[in-house]
Amino acid sequence: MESVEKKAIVITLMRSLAEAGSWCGETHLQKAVFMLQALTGVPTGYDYILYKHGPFSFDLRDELATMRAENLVELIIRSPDYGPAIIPTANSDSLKKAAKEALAKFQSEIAFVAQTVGKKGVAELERLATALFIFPDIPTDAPVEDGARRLRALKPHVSEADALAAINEARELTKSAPRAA
Amino acid sequence: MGTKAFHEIRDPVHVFVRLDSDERTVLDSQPFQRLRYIHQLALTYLVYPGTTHKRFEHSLGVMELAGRIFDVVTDPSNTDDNIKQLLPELFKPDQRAYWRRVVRLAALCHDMGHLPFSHAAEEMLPDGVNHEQITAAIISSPELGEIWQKMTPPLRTSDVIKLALGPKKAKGQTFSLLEGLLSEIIVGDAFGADRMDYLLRDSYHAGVAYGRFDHYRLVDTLRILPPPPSGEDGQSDELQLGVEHGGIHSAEALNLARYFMYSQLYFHPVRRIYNIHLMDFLRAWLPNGKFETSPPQHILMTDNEVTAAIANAARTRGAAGEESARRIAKRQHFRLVYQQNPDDAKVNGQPARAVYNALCNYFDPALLRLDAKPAEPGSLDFPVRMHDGRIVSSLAISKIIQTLPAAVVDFVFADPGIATKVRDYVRSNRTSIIKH
Repeated sequence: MESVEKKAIVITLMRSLAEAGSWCGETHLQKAVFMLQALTGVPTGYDYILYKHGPFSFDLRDELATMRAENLVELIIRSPDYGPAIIPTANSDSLKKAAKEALAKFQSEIAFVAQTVGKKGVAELERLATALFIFPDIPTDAPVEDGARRLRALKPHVSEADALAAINEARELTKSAPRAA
Repeated sequence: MGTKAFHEIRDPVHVFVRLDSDERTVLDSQPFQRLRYIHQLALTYLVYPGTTHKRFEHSLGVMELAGRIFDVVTDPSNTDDNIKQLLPELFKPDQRAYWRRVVRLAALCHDMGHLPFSHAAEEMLPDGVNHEQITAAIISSPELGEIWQKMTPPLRTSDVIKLALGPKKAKGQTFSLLEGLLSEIIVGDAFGADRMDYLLRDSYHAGVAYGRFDHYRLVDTLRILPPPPSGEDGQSDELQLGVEHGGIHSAEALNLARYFMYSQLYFHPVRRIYNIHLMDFLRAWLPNGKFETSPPQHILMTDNEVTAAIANAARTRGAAGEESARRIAKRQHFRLVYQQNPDDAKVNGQPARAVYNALCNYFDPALLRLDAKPAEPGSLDFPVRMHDGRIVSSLAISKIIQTLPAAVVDFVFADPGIATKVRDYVRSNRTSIIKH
């Protein structure tokens, strides 16, 4: 995928997340792009590892820094007690035209992820994204407790009940998510 | 007289670097001694004559700082019960001693895979290989493997590799909470010992004051903290390195130092063009244009071999890389003809590329070079513990950290013979080129 298409998809996802009620901080954006790749197969190609609050992409973080330098996004502080939100600038509108086809092609996947992620809190999102990250390594017929144990081994601060719920939700989402052609 | 158990090495930044005899065996190993011959800042000494320092002393400095940071953040009086529960390994004396040793040795080894002239030559590695992977291969080599095994208790090679590389570079590895935190001590973006040492050391050798900051105060106020509330409804308990409120000004100074050092020294246009000429030379001089990556071959190649080859090629007609060698050795480097400015960046996200493309229609592209690289992140978000115990984001409480711009490399260079003409052309056509 071309760089301009990747940036346009990230920007569109930011806008969709905001419409779905997200604060749109970096954690939400990181997890949303991860789900877009892992759950719906949109080939944005950011390399993810298990790190801060679950799957995390240094590539995406670098891309966001570049997008800030290119005046495509900016950080805003909405409340002095909280971290920043990332919002697209008016300049980013130029990407819509440049990546028109890619945006049309992946419209339903972007909408699905934004709706799934938009209203979730950080802690819940961390659990769900981590469950989706380890999902390919869990045999399909394995009891849900196995997945929860694996999740807790990686994230010891997650309770057993929350880990079970995250694995169950990850299973449901993999069945219901649209898959990019 | 018995053998000394502890050793002291004089250092211009940290005064003394202290190490024990086990650590000294790593220092004396061939891969580490090679770092005496790898310049920390490549050919920057052609611009800032004092920057002839090497990866060797930087690595010692990183070990010293990493040890200090580890001691502060794992001090039981600096941590609350929740952290002790989540990271029990750090609060049992034998395990704490094990991880302290791993942190210091990973810090010592973190740059062993560097190529001649450090980052400048990174493009000369085979596709998909980076210097961190070579570092991992050296740490796993028989020579160092034997050293890890002889320690008491023996060190797990994989622990040293993970902490030396960090999650960004250790591809395919999953980091536990503990491993992630300890690697942050060494290679973390916000407070990594690597970053602190290179800012202090590079500014010292370059003779520039703006790389300095109060690292004593900063290290003393570092803590393991939960993340700040993000405003995203719900709080994660995942821990990371942050500072006490009393350290925020030192953290601001670190961030300012980082911005100034990148924008004025690391991204100095003449330093950048020398890197490009060096890469052009290596592409022509190296067999197949690539460095060997196996540890036995890697340790044979240092700046000394490359510098001698440049000197030889510059005076030998028809030698591989002659032209690039001459540009370096005789200071006939390309000249800066365009540099991004904030007004242009508002109109065009990639102004240097636009200028370069336009110039290629009127001048010989072989006499032009574009140098554009992704921006260094400007604002870093880390947790700060306020006097009342609240955890807040650094970006929310520090206007300086919040508004710090990203340092940018966005240059166009031209051969000295056409530089004046090119500059005139850019001056006359800049507005239309950037808008286009």
